[in-house]
Amino acid sequence: MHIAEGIVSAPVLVTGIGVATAGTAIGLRRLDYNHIAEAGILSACFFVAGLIQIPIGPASAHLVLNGLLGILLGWAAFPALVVGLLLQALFFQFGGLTTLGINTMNLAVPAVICRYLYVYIPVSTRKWKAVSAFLCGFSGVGLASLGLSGSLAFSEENFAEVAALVFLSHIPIMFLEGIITAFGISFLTKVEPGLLPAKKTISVPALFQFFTIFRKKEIS
Amino acid sequence: MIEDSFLDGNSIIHNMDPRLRIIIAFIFSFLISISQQLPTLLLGLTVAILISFPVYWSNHRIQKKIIFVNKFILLFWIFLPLTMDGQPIVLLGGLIVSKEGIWLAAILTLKMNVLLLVLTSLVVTIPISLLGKALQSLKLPDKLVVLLLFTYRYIFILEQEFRTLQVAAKLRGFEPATNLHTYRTYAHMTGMLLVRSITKAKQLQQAMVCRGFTGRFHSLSDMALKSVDWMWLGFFICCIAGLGGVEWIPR
Amino acid sequence: MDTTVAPIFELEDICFSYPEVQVLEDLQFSMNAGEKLGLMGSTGTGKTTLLHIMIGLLIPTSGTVAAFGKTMNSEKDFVSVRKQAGFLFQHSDQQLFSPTVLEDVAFGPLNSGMSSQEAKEISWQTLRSLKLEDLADRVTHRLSGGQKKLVALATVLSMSPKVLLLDEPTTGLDPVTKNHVMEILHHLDISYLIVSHHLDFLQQTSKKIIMLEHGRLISNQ
Ligand SMILES: Nc1ncnc2c1ncn2[C@@H]1O[C@H](COP(=O)(O)OP(=O)(O)O)[C@@H](O)[C@H]1O
Ligand SMILES: [Mg+2]
Repeated sequence: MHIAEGIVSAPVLVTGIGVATAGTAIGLRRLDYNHIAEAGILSACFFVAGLIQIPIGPASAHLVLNGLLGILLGWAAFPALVVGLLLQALFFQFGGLTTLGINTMNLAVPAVICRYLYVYIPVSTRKWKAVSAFLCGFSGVGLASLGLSGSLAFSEENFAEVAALVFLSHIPIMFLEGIITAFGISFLTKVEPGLLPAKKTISVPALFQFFTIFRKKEIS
Repeated sequence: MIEDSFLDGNSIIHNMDPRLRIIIAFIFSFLISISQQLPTLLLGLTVAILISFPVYWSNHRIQKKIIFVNKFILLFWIFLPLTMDGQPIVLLGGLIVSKEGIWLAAILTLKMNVLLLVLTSLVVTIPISLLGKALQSLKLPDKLVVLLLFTYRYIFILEQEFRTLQVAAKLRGFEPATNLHTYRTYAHMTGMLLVRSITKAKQLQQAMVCRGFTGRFHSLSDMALKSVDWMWLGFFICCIAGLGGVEWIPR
Repeated sequence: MDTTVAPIFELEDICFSYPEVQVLEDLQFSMNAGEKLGLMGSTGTGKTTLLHIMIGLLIPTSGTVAAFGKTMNSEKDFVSVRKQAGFLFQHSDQQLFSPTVLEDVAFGPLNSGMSSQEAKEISWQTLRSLKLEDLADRVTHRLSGGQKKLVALATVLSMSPKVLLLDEPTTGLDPVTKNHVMEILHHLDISYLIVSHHLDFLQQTSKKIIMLEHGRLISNQ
């Protein structure tokens, strides 16, 4: 899930850099020193997941895990993904310095959305919790592929077909990611529920709380 | 197994100030990324090849990285000539492709290779500890730098542990296939690694707190530009100005 | 060749080295059906390496490995061997990854194609035979080191192996748990090879004790 350097246009690159910088700044504000280790491990996990091939029909794919990362880290997913993507660029030249912004934006915005989805979807039974976790994993990759295809399509009108193909080819991975995220969340619920964010109900104060993202606040 | 893929060595590029290399790589890459003109790209390619030579002499592994061709570019070679409107060319077998499509694919290939060379010779040659210092000295937030170093350390540990778990599962008859059992197993392995490493990291943190760690890393850097760095700076300012000139000054 | 009388494992002229160290040198080893062997040797002599070679996790630099009467030539040959050999890792953390004990014990049976009902039944049986049924619903991650060892043993036994390869099953166990393991082994009528530093433990569980020294095996009794 990377855009290689040299493919997308200046406006797309600049948008990416802007969004990624803002998101990372918010993420870092909310990430206190006691949780850096946790974020680092998750970001390493994101890196390693990109190396492991999982069979899916006749082909195989690797996990993206941005949905899971978002659920666990919230806004801190931004810095975690910047770091993970930078290391991937240095190790394997997947993407590069100029595309670090847009690649981060494409993965981290869905990650943060997943966090809010996870926290605010009101479910209580085990089955529905699994369904909501599936939804997070699914939309994590789904929105990321949409971002990826969008970045291509906005860059050059002749990329439309490639962009569509890129999106379609990610549909199986959305399902894979949804299933893995559902199992992953169920694992954490059993083994270390303290890592998961508390569920909240939507209320007027909660809506207001969204606007407190610019205040310094620790991830819970 | 992942290997540490930094290109170590001892060339004139390796001895350049890492902060300078990062900034130059970024500006240079950005210009190349947005350029539309063939002459600009050719000039960029020349400079990129020039700076990659010393690195190549010092570490042949750079070759491997350049041979790596991104999946994307193949896609473009297949799709653009077929889908783009333009002057048609009939290939053997009656396939009709557009000249503009081939042109665009060729330009993209050229760009990507220049960018690959710039990234590998200027940035991939910075060892991680130096990269951390350089980023800190470039005023990136402390927390981000600590996060980078931490992640780097854990990549190797996690990968190793994951491989071991995979082997253990294989010994118990696990064969990955497209089914829920497989996906559950992978999720459990990932979850277990996460939980275990986070527990360990917290214990490590407690141990550090016991030894007087307050959560602040002291500034690690005392970097100064050497005279040779100023020469490099001059060289690259000329290159960058040249690129801009070729791209934007109307002829 | 008749596989019933052929040795379970037969290693000939095995040499193995890691990038920096030569570990095994012209090592010969054979293990017959029904044999209960103990393996001793100081830390770092290559006991773990030897076990890993036996089940194909490491490939020897030279020499041949045969298992159940068949010479192993490729990774594929080892697949059936691994199904019949229960391998206990030196560190249980390398082996356990399911959320709960019962799920981990059921993992092997599930892989061999059993329904989840059957797998559960076998797992309960195994846990009961090891007197571990109280742990069934516990989270494996939070067990003590000794408990993890026992659970890891259960995950291996639930696959009804023909032979056990146990890498330091007693290290870090208290005397009571050690006796527990000893009893379990006494009640098994399959062949096994145990790596341990505890001579008394090996004397009580094994018919024959061999030593690994300078890359070679020396028979004691
Ligand atoms: N992955 C490895 N890479 C390099 N050396 C190793 C590796 N694993 C083990 N060794 C070395 O090989 C020797 C034998 O190790 P091992 O088989 O684990 O010994 P034992 O199990 O008898 O304690 C030791 O000196 C150890 O340091
Ligand atoms: Mg050992």
